[in-house]
Amino acid sequence: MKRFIESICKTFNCDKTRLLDIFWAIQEKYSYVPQKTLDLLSHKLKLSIPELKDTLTFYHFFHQKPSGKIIIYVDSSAISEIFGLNKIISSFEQELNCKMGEVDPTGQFGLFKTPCIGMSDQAPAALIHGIPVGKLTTAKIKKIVADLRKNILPKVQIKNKVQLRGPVLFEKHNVGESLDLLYALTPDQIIQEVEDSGIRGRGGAGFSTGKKWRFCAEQKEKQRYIVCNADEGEPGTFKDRYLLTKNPTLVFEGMILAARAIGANQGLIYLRAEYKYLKGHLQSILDQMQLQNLLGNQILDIPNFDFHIRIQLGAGSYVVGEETALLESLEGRRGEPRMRPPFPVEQGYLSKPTIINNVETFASVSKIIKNGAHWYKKFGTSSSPGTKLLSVSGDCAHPGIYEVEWGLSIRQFLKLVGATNTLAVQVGGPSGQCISLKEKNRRLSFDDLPTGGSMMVFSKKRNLLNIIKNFVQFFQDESCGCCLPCRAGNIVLNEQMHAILSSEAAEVDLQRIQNWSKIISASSRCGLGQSCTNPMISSMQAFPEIYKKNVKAHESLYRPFDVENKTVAYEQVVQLHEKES
Amino acid sequence: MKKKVNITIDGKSISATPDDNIVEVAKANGVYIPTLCFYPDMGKCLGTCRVCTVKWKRHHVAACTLKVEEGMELTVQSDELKDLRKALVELLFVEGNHFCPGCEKSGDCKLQALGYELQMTVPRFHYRFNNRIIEYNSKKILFEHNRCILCKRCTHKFKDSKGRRVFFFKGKGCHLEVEMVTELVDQLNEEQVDHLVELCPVGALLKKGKGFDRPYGERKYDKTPVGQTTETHPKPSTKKHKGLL
Ligand SMILES: Cc1cc2nc3c(=O)[nH]c(=O)nc-3n(C[C@H](O)[C@H](O)[C@H](O)COP(=O)(O)O)c2cc1C
Ligand code: SF4
Repeated sequence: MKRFIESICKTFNCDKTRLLDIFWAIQEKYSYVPQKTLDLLSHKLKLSIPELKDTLTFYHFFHQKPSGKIIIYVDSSAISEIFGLNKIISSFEQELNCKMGEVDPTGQFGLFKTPCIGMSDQAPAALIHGIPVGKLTTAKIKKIVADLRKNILPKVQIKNKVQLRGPVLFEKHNVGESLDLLYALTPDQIIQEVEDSGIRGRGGAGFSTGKKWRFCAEQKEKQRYIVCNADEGEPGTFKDRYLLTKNPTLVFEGMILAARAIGANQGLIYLRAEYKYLKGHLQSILDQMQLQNLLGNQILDIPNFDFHIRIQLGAGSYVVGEETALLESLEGRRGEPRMRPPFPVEQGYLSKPTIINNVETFASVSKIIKNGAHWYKKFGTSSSPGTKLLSVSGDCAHPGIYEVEWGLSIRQFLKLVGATNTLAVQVGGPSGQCISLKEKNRRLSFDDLPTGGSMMVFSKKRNLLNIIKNFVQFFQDESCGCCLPCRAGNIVLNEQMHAILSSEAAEVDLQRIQNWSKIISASSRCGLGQSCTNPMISSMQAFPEIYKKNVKAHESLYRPFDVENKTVAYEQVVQLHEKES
Repeated sequence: MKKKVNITIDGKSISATPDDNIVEVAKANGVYIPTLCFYPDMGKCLGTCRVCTVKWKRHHVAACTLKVEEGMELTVQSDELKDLRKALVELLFVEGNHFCPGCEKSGDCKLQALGYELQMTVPRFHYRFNNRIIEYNSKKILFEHNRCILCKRCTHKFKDSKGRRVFFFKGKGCHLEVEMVTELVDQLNEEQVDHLVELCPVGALLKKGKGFDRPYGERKYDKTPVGQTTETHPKPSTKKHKGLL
């Protein structure tokens, strides 16, 4: 063991920013991170054990006790839930002979839950030893477990169901095509073109990409970095998975263009642990691009244009998708969002100016540079130019990937995806909005209904409250805990949701949810806490009748303390005393 | 010397130096913004308790993270904000297990003082009665986790003589807790221990061998309301450790 720890420390140069890689290496060998390895690491890296645990315990893919040689993570997203999560869990429990959250008697298998693994188009799904398997049924599980017992792992088979090929990302593209213009365009012209296109970030926040690049280019510090956010954590999205499996060069080209634009020589892709199975594939593409002189030193023989891309694997955490938390994680720490300012463009990775963009943003930029801003602006609306990849899941005839122009109405959307008997659409995942068909004339755009891509459709046969409860639970589990309102507030909201579902809530509880949500979202530190109240609030707005129907109790569980009433005896004594004296 | 700019807080005009911290600027001008995790003169603020939330334009922001900018118009004392702060303090009271009458820090505790100040009587939320531990392994510090508010003061604002962090986080979300490096804590000298105990705004980090040194009624917040007291930041000394017990 000692020699092993020494060798991995050597591989990573005893670099503390590579702690995640080090833990992964240890876990790969021992299938968990034994205390003994921490002792050795502590010695080697000159970090105390609590300091190592500071990082280790933040990520739920790292285990500190034996958790099975083969770990099965069942996707517990709302979409999995409506497609029979409970049945799937019992099947696994039965086949493996252990309970959820436990290791089987042989110590061979571990069974755990995990939030959305980016397979909502093939729900219910699970990660089996890192390999995603969709459309699970009892029979399929039987077969999988039987195979596992014979040491046969499932094959990696990602079925990307592309339902609508749009005009931008699906336009024919030869590898490296967008880089042809690198000779002709100055860095400033690249930024100008991106700015002119009006493209806004595809990861959710929708900040102008051109502006972001320009801010970064204007920094004094010359050492700069490009980071691609491939954490795709929002439940219900899988469009980055599509791009990374089918068209990764488009994403890498975007990163190379960004590097040229701001003069960066190192790029990083933060790949969520759920997509670990893509790492080898992506690395081989990167290697190929290096051979083609599209990466590495003197790219395309342009003097002094060096750019390298490294893939950093995450370890299971939704909040790490928040850009500053992502930076913390890239530096080998807990994924807690940083305080802003400074913004990443000023002080990002290793405190140097850094551009962070979503996978789809980089891919779109490649097309913008290839075909020009003018071409790009032909699609979409004036305030939201271009197209958007949607990950469609839930109750519709055609779940899968769609590339649509911004400005699509919900009515058109529902028709497109073949949704009938629809109750609600969750636009933008749990952190987005839950809308009813009354709002079907609303449009997907940054000024009406923004979406990072997650589009979940729920039909009238679903219990909306269960779905919302799943979202609230998700936020409670994924809160990093470093700021109070989100850490403690989510528990309160979850408790309220539980009360409603178990008919223990009274009318007044609905008002309380509204009031408390306002406090939580107003005072939380990062986007997670600020948007964690959205599912409840937007669904209450869209479906007041559902909530009303479910508040049954006469009296709320939350009984305000009635000071007057409780101190009657005391007051009497005081009054008596006063009278007597 | 930077040029002064004008800002307003609750309508009061204040002239201030750009980039100065809003909490301190407000204080210097007689406007009190309640704070809890904030500790003056300590560089980067922690931004964990959010009690100092104020309104700027249409947004809510933690004042400790804000720097003076020309023309800022801030709201500090609206009914909405007062209620928000009170709710946050209540959340802290229900999250931990705080029994003020039995606490060594009673009267010196910032959380308790804020509770009084914001006129909190009974929290609007359910008590969680979380199961937390009391850690007594260290020779120097008794760590009462029941009272810990996870403010990050000890984890991020305390270093030992060699500049090492002594406290870390463990877990995340509602399972978050603070873990101390006992061996390093045991090497702290008396002054450092005093500083550490002072740094903890509540009664979570206590000096071993010391119980109540001043009677109730004569403690920090007993006479001066929390809004008027200043937390000072003693320079951690590098004096060799003399041993405590
Ligand atoms: C809690 C939270 C999770 C996020 N998760 C992701 C994510 O998984 N992928 C992503 O690209 N952006 C995510 N974001 C948005 C990022 O913070 C950031 O805005 C984005 O990566 C910037 O890239 P863009 O401008 O290209 O969208 C998340 C934000 C928050 C607050
Ligand atoms: S809002 Fe939640 S996730 Fe964001 S910093 Fe606060 S506790 Fe962490």
